[in-house]
Amino acid sequence: MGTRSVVGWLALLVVSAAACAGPSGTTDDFRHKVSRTAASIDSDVQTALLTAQLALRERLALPYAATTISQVEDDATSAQSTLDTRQPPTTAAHDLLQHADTVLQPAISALTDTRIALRARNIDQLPALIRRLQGANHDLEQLYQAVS
Amino acid sequence: MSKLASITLGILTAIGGFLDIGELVTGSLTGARFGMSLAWVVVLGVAAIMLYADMSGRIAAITGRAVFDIVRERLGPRAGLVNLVASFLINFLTLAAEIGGVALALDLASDVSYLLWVPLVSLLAWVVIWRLPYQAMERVYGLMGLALIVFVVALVKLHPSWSGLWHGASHPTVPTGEGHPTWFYYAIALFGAAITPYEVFFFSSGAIEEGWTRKDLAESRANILVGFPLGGALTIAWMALAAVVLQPRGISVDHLGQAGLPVAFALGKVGVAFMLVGFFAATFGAAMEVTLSSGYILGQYLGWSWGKKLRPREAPRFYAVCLLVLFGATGLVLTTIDPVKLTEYAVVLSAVALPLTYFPILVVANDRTYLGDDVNSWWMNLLGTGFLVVIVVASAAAIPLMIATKAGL
Repeated sequence: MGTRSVVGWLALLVVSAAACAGPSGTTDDFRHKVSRTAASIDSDVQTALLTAQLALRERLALPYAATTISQVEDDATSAQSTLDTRQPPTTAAHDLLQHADTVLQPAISALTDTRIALRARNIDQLPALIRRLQGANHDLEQLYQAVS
Repeated sequence: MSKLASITLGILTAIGGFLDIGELVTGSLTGARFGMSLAWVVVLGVAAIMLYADMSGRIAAITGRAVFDIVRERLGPRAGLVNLVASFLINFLTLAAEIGGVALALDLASDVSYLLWVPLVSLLAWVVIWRLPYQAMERVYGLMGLALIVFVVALVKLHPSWSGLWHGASHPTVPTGEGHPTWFYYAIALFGAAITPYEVFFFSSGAIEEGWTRKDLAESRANILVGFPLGGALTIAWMALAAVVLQPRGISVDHLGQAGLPVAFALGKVGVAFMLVGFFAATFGAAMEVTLSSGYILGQYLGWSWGKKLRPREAPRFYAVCLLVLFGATGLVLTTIDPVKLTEYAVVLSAVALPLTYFPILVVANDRTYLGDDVNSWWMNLLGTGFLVVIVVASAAAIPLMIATKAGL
């Protein structure tokens, strides 16, 4: 293999390594991953909240709002799936994961319902969905505080 | 057209054409995450690109030859080849990111998946490259890009704490909860976005396309000295919008749609419409510049006839390269790779390759064989060397920081 090929493969390896997540060895490691996931999904919920509020006040066109919420919903679903694929290393970590899922799942459901309402142009559903998103945001912040 | 009107138009084009997907993504992302603490990087990047754009414009105007052509001759084919390969790869990633950016802007406007827009965007880019004269192409998209002044209007409308923003920018500190490596990683990304290699190659090749001579240097300098800083100011306004609206809510920017929310918050639908027009123009204009830049550097290295002023049958290999690069970048975006992540990688990897672009320019700009008495003055060399040191440090640190921070997590 020539020098240029080696350099090319090394570059690919570096970029791939940078994008990979490491294993969760201890409860603290797992707690850290839960904390990051909660923060990430909270960012998605906050995005949806701001988007829905702007759409309700007719400051944002519905296609823009629906696209944005669809994207953050995908991110949140992916973040939760990634966390759920981790093997909790201890019983305490297992309990933590179960508790986290009770917070993360309603948040993702709220994102999904908001996206559906916007795509269907059901603006009258937005006030109730905004309250659900605010509740999800509150719960995610509490989870984040508890595990950080 | 009078000289003054021509200069004004050139400056407006430079402002509107300054931003591309790199600045749009990194500016908002860093504002939402680090507030104004990385605004100094934009200032540094704009100063560096001003200096090196001036050098490359001067080289082209005095010698009548593009920078890459002279770099190959001055440093030899081997050094030129390393420069060519690095620049070409970065161009390829940047082009894919720009095409993705145009498609994302259309997705936000239409709610039709960006993947369906990608082939249409590429086709339109090719038609424009093929049919539209060089200056018309540059000015149409540069002037449309002026719609991004909506960033400044939105920021003013929000009535932010100007002293708070200034304090954040003038006393850069790493925000609580963030690590120094991540902060520096994004500093390098911002810097890489400001001085992407294609910009100087396009600038100098454009000077040849437009037939610049020594008497055009004043107009070139006006574009650089006024247009580029005002373009940089738009980036800082964009960063400030994210710092004012997104950071307090804990929103991290992973999508272009999130980045645009502060404009909707401040100005409503009309503001968003201006912003989307600006996004489209900035990224579409940049996509064409990167495509042409790829054709320019390969044509100049291999000694082909090149340039938009030539008809396709007069420069078939140049147009073939442009078409192939556009086709390949379209294929990369259609793999469903996230265009925003691709942009982040492109600007950081661009930072890695920067010394290969900027060191040869500094060497040629000091060579009396080519420039006679128009070589760099002492203060230009002082500044140029200082920026080169920053470029080398950023280049050396980019990959280790990418690994250490898991690409900015």
